[in-house]
Amino acid sequence: MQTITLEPLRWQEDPSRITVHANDSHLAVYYQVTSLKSVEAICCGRPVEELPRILPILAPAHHLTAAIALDRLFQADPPDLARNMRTALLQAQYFSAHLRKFFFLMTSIQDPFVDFRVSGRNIHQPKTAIRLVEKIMHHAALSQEAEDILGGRHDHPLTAVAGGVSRYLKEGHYQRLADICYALLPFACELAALTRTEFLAEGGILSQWTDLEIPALSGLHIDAGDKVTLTHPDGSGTQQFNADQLGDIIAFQQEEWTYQPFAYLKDKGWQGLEKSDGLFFVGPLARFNAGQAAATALAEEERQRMMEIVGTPPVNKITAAFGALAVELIQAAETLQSLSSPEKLSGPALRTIPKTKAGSTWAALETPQGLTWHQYHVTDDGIVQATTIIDAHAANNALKCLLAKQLVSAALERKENPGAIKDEVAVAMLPF
Amino acid sequence: MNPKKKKIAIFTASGCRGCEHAILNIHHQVQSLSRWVDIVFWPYLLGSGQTELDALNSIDVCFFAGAVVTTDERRMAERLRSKSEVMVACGACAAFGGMPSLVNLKKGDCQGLHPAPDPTDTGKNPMLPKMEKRVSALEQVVVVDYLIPGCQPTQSLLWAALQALACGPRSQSKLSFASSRLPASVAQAVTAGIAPPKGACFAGDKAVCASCSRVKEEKKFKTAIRTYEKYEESGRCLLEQGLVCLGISTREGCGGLCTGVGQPCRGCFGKAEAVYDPGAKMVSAISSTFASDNKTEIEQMAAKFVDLSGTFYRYTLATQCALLDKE
Repeated sequence: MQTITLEPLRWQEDPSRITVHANDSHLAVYYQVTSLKSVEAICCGRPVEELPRILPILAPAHHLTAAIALDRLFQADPPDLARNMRTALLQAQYFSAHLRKFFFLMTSIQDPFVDFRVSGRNIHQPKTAIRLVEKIMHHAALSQEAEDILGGRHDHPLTAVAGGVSRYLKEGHYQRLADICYALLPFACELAALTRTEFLAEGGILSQWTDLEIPALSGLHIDAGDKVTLTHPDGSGTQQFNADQLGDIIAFQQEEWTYQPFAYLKDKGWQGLEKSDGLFFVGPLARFNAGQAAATALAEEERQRMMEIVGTPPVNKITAAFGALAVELIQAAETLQSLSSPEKLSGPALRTIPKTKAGSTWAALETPQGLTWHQYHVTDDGIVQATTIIDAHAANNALKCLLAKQLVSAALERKENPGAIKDEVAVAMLPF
Repeated sequence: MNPKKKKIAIFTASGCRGCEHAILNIHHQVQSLSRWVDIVFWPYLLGSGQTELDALNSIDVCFFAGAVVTTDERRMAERLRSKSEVMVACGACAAFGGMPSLVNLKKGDCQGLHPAPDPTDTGKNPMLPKMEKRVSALEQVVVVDYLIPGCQPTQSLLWAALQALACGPRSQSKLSFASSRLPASVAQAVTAGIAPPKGACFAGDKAVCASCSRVKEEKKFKTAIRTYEKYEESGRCLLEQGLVCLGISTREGCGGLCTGVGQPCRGCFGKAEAVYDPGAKMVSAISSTFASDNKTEIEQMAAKFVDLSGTFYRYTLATQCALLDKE
């Protein structure tokens, strides 16, 4: 038996590799996450109010999911100021996370360390690509600054607390946020247009993926009002649940060959990766495939234009996943802009002081990476006893495994070399 | 590859990628770095693997982030150390074990956190790197030359460290920027064009309280408050209000980032230079300022403190808790 290892996979948050076992009659492809974060072990024993500061080790938006769980635990409704600050922070996180994916996409064709200011002398460097990388980095810095203002820090934010937020914004912050939004929105529109006209066009970075269908799985996302919608991959309909039931609907399967568990629908049972009945995925494409209008005007216009190119949802294509990222980039910038005013981000109270405490809590939030769901059980003195956390890493694990198998099988048939296969898989997994 | 440029490697073991994002977040400077350095190994951004590492004879500076959780990560740390002139622990996980090392508080070893491979397995499924018994900081695995603390490290310190270690004397303006942000001993070395003393930490020497902008009035601990309870939103010292804030035992360098937004410090820069054990320092600082001589009152107040080990050693359990066996 021949074994091929493709390691490491670029741009994956978890350290990961693909192991291929091949002989004349059989091909087995494994997407392996090679390290364990042990989040439950880290959280248990900690005071519950610390979780918004601990859980961002999964992704920055877990800070907000944990804060919502605390609101519910302490039955403390955040005032409008706090709600708006949290929403604005989430939108800034969307912008940063999605833009980083476009930066990574550009690094698949462009050396990210080419100095724009001296590269003009180098005729071998494609100037358009360098300028775009330069612009992406500039706007990433701006959205990070918005995260710093709203969340205290960008990768590990800390301002959301039980019942609200921990500080008022300062006078200068309002103007700075307005300036940032003034720059982010036009750039988001420009990047979305580039995605349509350059990346997806013939000869563009994404053109080779135009016909590639990804594994058809149901998409899961949270609608407004704590409703979770499961969209069937063939467009045959949807199912809705209350978000508080997610713990009963989703289960995890731990395989011994990867540290990342597989999330699946409990009522279908775990049938392995060969049967996709109980498998699902989350994130921008799952939201796009729900076929709902975007929340803001320019984003909706862009969604319509994008659908003309990638198809009408549900679309099981990598190109649609990048299209969805571009649409959400505009939506995030527009929403952030609508919230970045002194009227929205000021008020008489920062937080509601909790007066009571329940024994357990949950929260659901749609984040840049996809649906997140937290459940904590706590002792009388507020110490965490048990946690259940659903995040995009576990939710998209099955999709990544199936995608890896599909791409590697096709590439081996074309007799591509391992390096080329690794690069293809990395780009295909990037938007998930 | 330009032979005059320094060769840089960047690697994350088990962590959140926050430190790597922090390097990317130094904005255009990442691109201008290429004037002085060649980034020759960066699995996360460039997809560099073992083949690329094998091909390298030497690395000038390696920035290693994340805690060591698996045997593969230990091997990678050893390989990178053997090839690198300078090894930098970048971020709280690599420097002190970080939050991943909180699993060391669990009974039993970390290997129990994942199902053991089936002993009857015929080799059909691929193997995983084994979990180590304990989560370790980089310095518990290999010799570390410098530390850049923080979760994640602040941009200015990271940029200063990159310039000091990677750019060398070829850019006086950058060195001058770097030395203005670094502790005196490091800054003097950098300005003189020599390597900072081994073991130097690219952060301040004093405690966070020295740079925290909150108003300190009287250190009298009247009650223990948790962050969900009511406390003043004014600029008054959080510890004085009864919140457990680790600023008094933690190395400065962040500028009081957390306290500045109304949240107590959790010690991601590790212990201050003059502190032996951050937990012991906190116990001493709080208990010596209890505003009561009454035994019952003191006992009641002490009972309100919860999860002392998880709070006082949030980021430093693997290396800075004197009570734990660090091997």
